[in-house]
Amino acid sequence: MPLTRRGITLAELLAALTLTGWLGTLTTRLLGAAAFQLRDRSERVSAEHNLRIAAGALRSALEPLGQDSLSGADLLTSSPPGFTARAVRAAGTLCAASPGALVVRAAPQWWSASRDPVAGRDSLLVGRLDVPGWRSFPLQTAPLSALCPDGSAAWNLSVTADSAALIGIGPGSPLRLFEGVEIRLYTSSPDQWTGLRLLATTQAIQPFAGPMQSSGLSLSYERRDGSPAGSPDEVAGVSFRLGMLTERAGGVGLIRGPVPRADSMSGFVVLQNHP
Amino acid sequence: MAIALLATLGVISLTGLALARAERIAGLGAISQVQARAAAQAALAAALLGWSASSTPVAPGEERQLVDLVVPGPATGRASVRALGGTVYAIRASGARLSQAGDSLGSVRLELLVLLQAPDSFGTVHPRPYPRGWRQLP
Repeated sequence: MPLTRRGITLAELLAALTLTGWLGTLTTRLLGAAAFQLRDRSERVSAEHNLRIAAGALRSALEPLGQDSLSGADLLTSSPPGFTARAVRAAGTLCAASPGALVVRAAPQWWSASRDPVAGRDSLLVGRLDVPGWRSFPLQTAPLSALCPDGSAAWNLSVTADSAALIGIGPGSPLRLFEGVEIRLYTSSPDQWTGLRLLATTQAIQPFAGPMQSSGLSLSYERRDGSPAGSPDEVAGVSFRLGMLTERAGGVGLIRGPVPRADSMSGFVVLQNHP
Repeated sequence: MAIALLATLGVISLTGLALARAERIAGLGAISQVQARAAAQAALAAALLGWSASSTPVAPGEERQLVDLVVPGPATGRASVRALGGTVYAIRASGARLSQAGDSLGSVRLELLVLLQAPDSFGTVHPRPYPRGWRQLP
């Protein structure tokens, strides 16, 4: 009687199970490693992006700061984890000035603004024409539409200023609209973030970069010769160090990422308007 | 199982490639911005050397082109002087980093307020910076 093969032997079954298990393990490890790498790299990309945003924001806030003998320094307070300063929100040129009112040209080639002026929150710096320097005035009311003496469109900005305060101010005077802001490191449990706060409002500080390492924002203020500045009006440049952490929300993929990794960036910002 | 494995690896690889592409674009944009700024600063520096008195604008809003240059990148820089209607003038400089096709990859505009000195014996006007006169235009 010929021998027929039906089914499989125990040895074949064991071999098949072993190979399947080995292939399964290999596949799982391969996929796990690839997904882990994707999560890790994407979290690091996000952290590096955060670093660039924070460095760009610091440069934008610090670079335009300056001072003059009439209106003082734009940098109001300085400390290692943050600073307060004047932030320019709009710029223009006067076409007329009279006690209580400054008329600024409103055509697009004259007026550039990141937002409309807000009374009680914004102040004005107006350049003098007789001597180089700026005078500061709080903005009293919301701007009103007006006309320049030549008939072009303008804003009427109400200020408390008598004729003595307007000496040297007139048509052609440059104007800056500014508000006080604070940029600093703050704790939002359990992380630390870098955020911005508007000094004239009750708004809470708003984050724009993070999470950060402990002491993740470190600023040092220098005079023009590189020595440490003793007061804000001496500051000619600011060196900064940013320490950022990766976070799960910054990456892609389903797999759990590694423990937060740190990355850092250092730089130096020259205050362009420091005399 | 093999198809599922290949599909999963494909998704992971494509996501990684997309991330790398986004990083490359961000890096190119950052470099282009730096090159554009360098071109604008070069144009501003060239304008600060002075210009012929006849090139000084008079009427408020009048603007005269002063500098047109190309710096390595290639990036182009331009500077002009604008009358504000008083004794203060604005030098406006712009820089742009262009692609080979001529498209702008990054651009920067700067402004510096200046006061003008009387023309020298060669008829050249030399500007001097007005306090707190530098700003980056939006």
